[in-house]
Amino acid sequence: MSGVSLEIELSGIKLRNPFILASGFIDDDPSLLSRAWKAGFGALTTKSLTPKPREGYKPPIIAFTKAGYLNAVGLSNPGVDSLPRLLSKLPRESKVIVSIAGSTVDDFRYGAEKSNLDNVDIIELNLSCPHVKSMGMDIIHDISYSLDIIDAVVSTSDKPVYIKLGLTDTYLSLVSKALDKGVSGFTIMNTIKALAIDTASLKPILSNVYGGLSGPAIHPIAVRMVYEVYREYQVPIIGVGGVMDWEDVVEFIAAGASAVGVGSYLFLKPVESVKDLINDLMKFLEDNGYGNVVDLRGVAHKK
Amino acid sequence: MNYVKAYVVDNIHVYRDVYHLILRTEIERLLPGHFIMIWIPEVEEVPMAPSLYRDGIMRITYKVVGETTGYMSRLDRGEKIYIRGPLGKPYKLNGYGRYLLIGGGVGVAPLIYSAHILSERGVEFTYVEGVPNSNYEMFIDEAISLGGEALLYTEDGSKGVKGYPTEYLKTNYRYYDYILACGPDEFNRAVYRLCREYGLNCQISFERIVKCGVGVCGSCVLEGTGLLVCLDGPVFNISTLYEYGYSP
Ligand SMILES: Cc1cc2nc3c(=O)[nH]c(=O)nc-3n(C[C@H](O)[C@H](O)[C@H](O)COP(=O)(O)OP(=O)(O)OC[C@H]3O[C@@H](n4cnc5c(N)ncnc54)[C@H](O)[C@@H]3O)c2cc1C
Ligand SMILES: Cc1cc2nc3c(=O)[nH]c(=O)nc-3n(C[C@H](O)[C@H](O)[C@H](O)COP(=O)(O)O)c2cc1C
Ligand code: FES
Repeated sequence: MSGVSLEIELSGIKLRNPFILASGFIDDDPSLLSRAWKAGFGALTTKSLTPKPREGYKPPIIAFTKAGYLNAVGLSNPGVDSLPRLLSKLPRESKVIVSIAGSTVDDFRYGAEKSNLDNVDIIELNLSCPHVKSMGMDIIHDISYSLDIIDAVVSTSDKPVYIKLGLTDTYLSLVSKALDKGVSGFTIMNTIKALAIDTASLKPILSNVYGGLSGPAIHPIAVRMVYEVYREYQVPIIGVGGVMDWEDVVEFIAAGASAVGVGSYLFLKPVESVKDLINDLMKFLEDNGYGNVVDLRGVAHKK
Repeated sequence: MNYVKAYVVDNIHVYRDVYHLILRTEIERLLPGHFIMIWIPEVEEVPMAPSLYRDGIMRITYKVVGETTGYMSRLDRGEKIYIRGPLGKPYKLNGYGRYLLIGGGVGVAPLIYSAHILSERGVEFTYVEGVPNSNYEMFIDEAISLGGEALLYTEDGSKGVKGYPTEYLKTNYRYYDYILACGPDEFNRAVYRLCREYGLNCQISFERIVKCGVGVCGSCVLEGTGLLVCLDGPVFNISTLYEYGYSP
């Protein structure tokens, strides 16, 4: 092994590397989380959990497009009460981000209370799911409502709280206000509302008609948002969106991300393939004379 | 992975709630054990492992259990549906050795397709089908026509041998180099236990609720193992199952 260090810190929590399993990817079952941890991720994000279990939408829940993927899973999840069971197969040293979703301030407060477990490291508020009414983009478009949720969670929990941002025109203003309320960091970004029509049947593919676009198509948008948030606030950022190879990873970190979320990369690939990203990042750092991944953070801003 | 059209050539009633849907379609090489997602717009999308695919003609052997399969049973000749695939990992079939193909219910679908391939390769095989009674017999004649040995096991003894097909495995396993199995969960668990005990090379195909079919949603996890039926399976070698802590 080389002497390059991939270790990072997120709000005081040490991660063995900057790769984080993004919310919604094979993360709603104890054995899946355990396998993902063994695969080498630095931290795991759970599926967005709501106070009550949710069934989600009927298949098709996924559509493939030229530049990315659409999903309308419908926030299916086993409910936040299942958290102790969900995390039961993870070793002590594992790092866990619990994603919480809901449609009222109380839903989020409840989620935060239930996430107050020893093996939970960070709470991520999913305020930006694009395909479930009243549970996502409806929230983040309404800054004062978002701030009420943030208030409730920050006052309920001692854990660092991160906000998962979606694409809005006003996100920088939300970031600034959220920081004033005690938010510790941001996960950038969620999927973007989109639609795909099948050319064989000439029908919308997703049972929900609309879905969230992820993958290569959104990567440059996510890089822009990471870059802007870092430029203004230099806070911990998890860059998520279209990480398909090491170049996307390097871009996010150079733009200012401390860590990088891996999601659509896992379509049709076993979770162990994250090793390729880890090794490729290591090689990039080595080849370019970085002893430490942290030194790469934000270099795109240097004059 | 986009959809391709599939035209209904025939929809043959086999018995009670079981049908063969014959489709004309063009998808990539689909092997025994692979599955496809069948999409009926405005209804739903469901996984099925074809019981034969050759020269652009696909046979799906299905049982009506709910909304989508109910809709499928009412499809008429000339109608169109949409499919994507092949998905998952198929059975690994060699050109040598002796094979035992053992299954129950509509689970025998990918096994009879395997029998076709083995027969073409001149490989010896025995096909054992387990059903509740003689009315449910499905592919015995087809297996014999392919040059294999074929045995029917009925729960009530109305035809063939009375009992479960696992009885055959218990007494005859020594004759076989490879076991291919597919059936209801309870059957799969029994086959797993026996094949572990006898140290056999065995591949089992599993069913779980498949939603995305591409390894991201987690819906099809084989409980306790972290294995995904849609991506790592549906066909698993029992050594993989063991390695991932499958404990029936
Ligand atoms: C890899 C694989 C191959 C399969 N091959 C065949 C086959 O060759 N022939 C056949 O008859 N059946 C097969 N099945 C089972 C078949 O997919 C279900 O019977 C079917 O989805 C039921 O749909 P429904 O809407 O009629 O039933 P409902 O009960 O109304 O279904 C409701 C929901 O549950 C899902 N579901 C219900 N039962 C199952 C099940 N056993 N497996 C997966 N999803 C299920 C459906 O997709 C649907 O989303 C296979 C399943 C898998 C996973
Ligand atoms: C199938 C699927 C399910 C998802 N579920 C969630 C979820 O429950 N909560 C959430 O915050 N984001 C969810 N997302 C969004 C991802 O976490 C991520 O933000 C997005 O996919 C962009 O990253 P990517 O391009 O690497 O996939 C989901 C995405 C997909 C494709
Ligand atoms: S069905 Fe989604 S992971 Fe297998």
